[in-house]
Amino acid sequence: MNIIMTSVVTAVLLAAGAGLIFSMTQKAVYEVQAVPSVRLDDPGHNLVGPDWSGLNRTSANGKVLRST
Amino acid sequence: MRWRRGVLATGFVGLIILCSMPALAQSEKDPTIKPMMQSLQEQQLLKELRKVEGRVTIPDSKAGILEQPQGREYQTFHERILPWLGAIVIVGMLVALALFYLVHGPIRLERPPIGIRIRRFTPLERLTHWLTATSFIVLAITGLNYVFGKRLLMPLVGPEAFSTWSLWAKYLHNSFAWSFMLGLLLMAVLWLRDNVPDRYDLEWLKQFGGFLSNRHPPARRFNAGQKLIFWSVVLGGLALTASGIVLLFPHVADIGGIQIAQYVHAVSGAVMTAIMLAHIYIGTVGMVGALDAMVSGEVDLEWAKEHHPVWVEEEQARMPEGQQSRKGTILAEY
Repeated sequence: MNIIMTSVVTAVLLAAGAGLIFSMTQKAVYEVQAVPSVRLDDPGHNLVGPDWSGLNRTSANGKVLRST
Repeated sequence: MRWRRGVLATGFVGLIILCSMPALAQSEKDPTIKPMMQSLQEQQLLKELRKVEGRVTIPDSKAGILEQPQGREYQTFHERILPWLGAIVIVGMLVALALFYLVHGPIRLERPPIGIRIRRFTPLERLTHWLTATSFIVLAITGLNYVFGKRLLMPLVGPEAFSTWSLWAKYLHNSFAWSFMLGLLLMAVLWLRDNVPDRYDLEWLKQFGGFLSNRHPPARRFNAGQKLIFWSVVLGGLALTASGIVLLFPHVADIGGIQIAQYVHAVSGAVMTAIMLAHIYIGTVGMVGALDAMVSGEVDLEWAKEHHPVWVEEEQARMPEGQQSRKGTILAEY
């Protein structure tokens, strides 16, 4: 049982380390791709539309519907 | 006067012929090029390049893609084919295992345990197994969320909670991928030698591992079923690793490459999940005594002799009586 607990802790530590490195080295697309002439907003959490179909639905007045 | 006009006319005609020489030469070289006859069509571009792309000055070069029909094919796969494929493979495996258990029950020993323990796996091997298993369980749950979450979970918890969970699921998936890759590498190094096919495997497969007859075909350290699991994990893990790295670092591929990586990653993940369900079944409720091997590292000698008699003989012949070894040594009577 000790081995199992050690393995779980090892996996969590490795994952935490990888996550930390990622957070230091990678940036969100909206931060990286923005330039002075093109401003990008934080898209929020829901990146694929209100129903997660990958398609943006538009309302009657043409506004893109987003759930966040 | 007349001869002067004749000289001028001849010179003019000669000049025209001289100027048209390059065009004539070109049309002789490549008769398909007819610049004045037809312009390049959109369908020709799509046929040759598989996408219509322009140039943009912003950092996101993908913004220059105007048409990419494969995107629609990918969406059809992701939204229609993949959920059905995943459901059939995973639920199908669960149903098959449940039916097998109900009809056949767990695999038991032919004779009772004799009370002598034999070491089956070293601590490093068990650590590697559980490291990979822990990582895979996290990866499977968070990975299945990509496919089934919005269909099964979002109606229950609502879009906002589901979005927050999915964001964290993405972080977990990207992070635990690395512990899985390390575990995969260690497993391949530790168990490759014992998983090379041998002459006992064919007989084991012919008898279907003795599942139907309740007789255990002879095997060395790993039987053919375990070897199939090992190679599925190694090859499936390699496919997941290669495609996963493309998805973790999407700038290494263009959009077509990312979509191919998604195909490979999703199908490999679904198939691997189904295979691991079978592995979990046989390692727990499906076979009496199997879990001991990976929890304590030891099994009863009778269990080892019934399931892996050739391995027991080899280990006992290799080790002088009383000498301790990392595996295959009779440890103690209880």
